Amino acid sequence: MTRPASESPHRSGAPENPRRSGLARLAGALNELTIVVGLVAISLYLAVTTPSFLTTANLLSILLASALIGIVAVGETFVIVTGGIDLSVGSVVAFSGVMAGLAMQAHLPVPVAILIGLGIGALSGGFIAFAVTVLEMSPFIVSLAVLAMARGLAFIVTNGNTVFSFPDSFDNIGGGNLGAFPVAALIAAAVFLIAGLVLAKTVFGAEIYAVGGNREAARLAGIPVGRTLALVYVISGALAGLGGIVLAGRLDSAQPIAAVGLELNAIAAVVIGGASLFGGKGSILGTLMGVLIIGLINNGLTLKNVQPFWVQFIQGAVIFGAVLIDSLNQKRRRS
Amino acid sequence: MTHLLEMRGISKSFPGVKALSNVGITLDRGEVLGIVGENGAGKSTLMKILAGVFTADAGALFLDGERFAPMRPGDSLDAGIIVIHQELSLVPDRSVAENIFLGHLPRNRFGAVRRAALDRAASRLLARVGLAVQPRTVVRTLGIAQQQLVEIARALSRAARVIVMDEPTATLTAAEKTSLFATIAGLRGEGVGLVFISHHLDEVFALADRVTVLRDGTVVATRPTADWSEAALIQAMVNRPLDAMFPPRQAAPGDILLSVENLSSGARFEDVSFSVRAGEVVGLGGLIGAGRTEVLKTIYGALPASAGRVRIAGTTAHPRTPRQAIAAGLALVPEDRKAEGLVLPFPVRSNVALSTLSSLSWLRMVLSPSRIDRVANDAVRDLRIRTPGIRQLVRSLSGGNQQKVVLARAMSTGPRVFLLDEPTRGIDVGAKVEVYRLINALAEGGAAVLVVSSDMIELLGLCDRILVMRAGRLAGAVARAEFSQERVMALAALG
Ligand SMILES: Nc1ncnc2c1ncn2[C@@H]1O[C@H](COP(=O)(O)OP(=O)(O)OP(=O)(O)O)[C@@H](O)[C@H]1O
Ligand SMILES: [Mg+2]
Repeated sequence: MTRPASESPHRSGAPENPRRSGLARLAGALNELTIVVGLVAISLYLAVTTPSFLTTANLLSILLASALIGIVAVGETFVIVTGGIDLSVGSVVAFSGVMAGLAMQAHLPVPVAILIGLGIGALSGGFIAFAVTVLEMSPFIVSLAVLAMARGLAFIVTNGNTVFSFPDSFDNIGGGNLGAFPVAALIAAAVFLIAGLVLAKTVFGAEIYAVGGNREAARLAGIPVGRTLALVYVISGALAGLGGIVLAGRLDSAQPIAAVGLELNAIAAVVIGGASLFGGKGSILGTLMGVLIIGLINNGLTLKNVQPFWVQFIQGAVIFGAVLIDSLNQKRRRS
Repeated sequence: MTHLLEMRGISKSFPGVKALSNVGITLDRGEVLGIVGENGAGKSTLMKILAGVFTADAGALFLDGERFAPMRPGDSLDAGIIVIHQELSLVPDRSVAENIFLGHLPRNRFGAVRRAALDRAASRLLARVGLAVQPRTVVRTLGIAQQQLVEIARALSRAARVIVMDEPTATLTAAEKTSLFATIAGLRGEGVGLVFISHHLDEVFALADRVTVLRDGTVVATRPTADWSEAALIQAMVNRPLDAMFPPRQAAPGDILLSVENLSSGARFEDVSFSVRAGEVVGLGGLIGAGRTEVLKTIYGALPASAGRVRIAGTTAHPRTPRQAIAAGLALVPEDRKAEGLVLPFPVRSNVALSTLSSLSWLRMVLSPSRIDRVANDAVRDLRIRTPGIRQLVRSLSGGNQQKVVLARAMSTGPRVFLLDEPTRGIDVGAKVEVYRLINALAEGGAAVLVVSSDMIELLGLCDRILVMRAGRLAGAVARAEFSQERVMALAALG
């Protein structure tokens, strides 16, 4: 079970019937290689058509935006591989950010503020975990509720105001550099590396795949299904907390309205990266590529001065496309 | 005269496997063709080509003498070819009636489903297949055998010219079999051609007019049933002499390993008490729905016990979850391998290792791929699992080989008490003997084995003692000295 994701069913599964719909066949052909090709194609296109694309400042801004989406998308990958979903991450980013900010305004030391931010994230995740495992509620509905509650709390604790002017040591987390690299990107890289190893190489990772692949079989095989599910939501929440700290540091301020819709970017990245919303399939490497694709698309839309309203629409369409491919693949495998 | 159906020169390869090469069969109106062969011989693949699920690499199909090239399942259905696949395909959360008429529900002028008409039509079909459940029953609540009967009722709901049953009797009990056989006789009278695939040779002999033997993707022979003896059929299937179906066992019963005391689980079953000793193989017989599977699952901690307790020698544990049960030395082979036994989209190796992930790791945390490979390769060799390799997805294994993967997984934790629910479901004769040998070896090694089986011959041949359940209660026990089908049946049906 070292690399279930790379043993993707398209390669070794049943060959399909030639007359099956073209769409389904297209979906079958989309694998890791196609993602890389897509990534390269978008980059080339932007490099050729937009002079401002290949500037240090622009590449840096892609990297910073991708760092935030990436940290959150890693947690989302864990959740989605178990067959669940976490819609709350955008709101949790905001709530954790303002809580860390308020802690610093109250003159608490920076490390304590960071712990508070992470802790708020983990707690939100823990709440979802409790509802999903003990109360057996649907993760979609529970995390939708937490999406609203966390956003509400972010407004309540700040009275709707922005929290700002943090110590430099805190701002460095989101906006500083270590050598040539932005600290935020290094944090994201570390998160990707650790999560990649956990998912691909550890017992916990294998259990996550098994729970997503067939929950009942996993339970009867003695896998601690409840614990596994609980942990992925806590991890997702904690990473959203980390995202909140990174974002607040980058902006030197924390807003209750921050990161609205971030969950959609994260979910899109995970699904583009080859994970299935039906569970049991996905990888951190895939998510990394998905994050870069989303980052490039968002950047390209900005560079090309596409109207913000269209940006929303196009992002939605990208998600729709990714999920469509997922369900077509699913259908193909079932028949 | 042209045949109703002819498949000529069919070949089909999958990556790493040649599933069929140059296979030909014919089927006439009102005829039953039996197809037998070992697990992985290609029986289901041939039928999936007929059903339009796969397309053949080479060869042609003729229906009433006309070329017929199904490209998708709809084509075959439209032509009146109905295949009841080995792996069930019902919608678990819909009612029995809706499942029977899935795709052609009776509707009124406004497009709404006509419930009353639906229920009436469903009741008629349920009576025809001898299944005593209400049309409104949700399929999820049915046992696997009952689901199989629903599939058959579904086939009857369409105007069929050819009906294929891929192991329809895998778990049916005697009474259900009788009514199924009557149904088949009726269909044959109407001129329908039937293909009947089964590992139960007695059924093949009872039903088929002709029998085709497949081995390694080729036809060994097709002959009228009267020209086959059971020995000849087995010889043709496995191509090696097969000695006793039930190999002898040298195991002296030792200490009590499993004892079940006044166990109840809600409305599922009540007040069940028995014990199993080391070295003993105890059967749990009874009709479908008598509560046998539920007893096994409750012992295993997968269903909650409402009263009573389970003791496992050497531990004070009272397992409340499968995880605790495994730690206490229990193993379960569940009845429904697809839903409960396997993670279908995963390779063989992951499925074999599923229960022992921590012990196949460094520091119980980091997976050791080489240890997993070793365990999986050993399992493939010991159980003769037919697969191109341990990285093959379990989904693409034949039914019997999937069952062996589940067995391998259950054995991997080194348990002392085995709970086997229909352990030979869908397994070929040769492999069955291997499984019986395996069970013997487990018992001789000091394990206690509890077997649920609907195959009476199997229970009588394998067990030291048979406990019989009826309607959620233990109706009695039969010791080996008094073994007879009549004794067991009498307890199961009448008490
Ligand atoms: N979708 C698939 N992809 C790859 N290999 C397959 C696929 N389906 C079947 N096979 C292989 O083709 C061979 C024939 O399988 P098939 O299911 O037809 O056997 P069978 O005779 O029905 O066996 P059983 O008695 O166990 O049901 C097997 O080796 C199997 O692993
Ligand atoms: Mg088969």
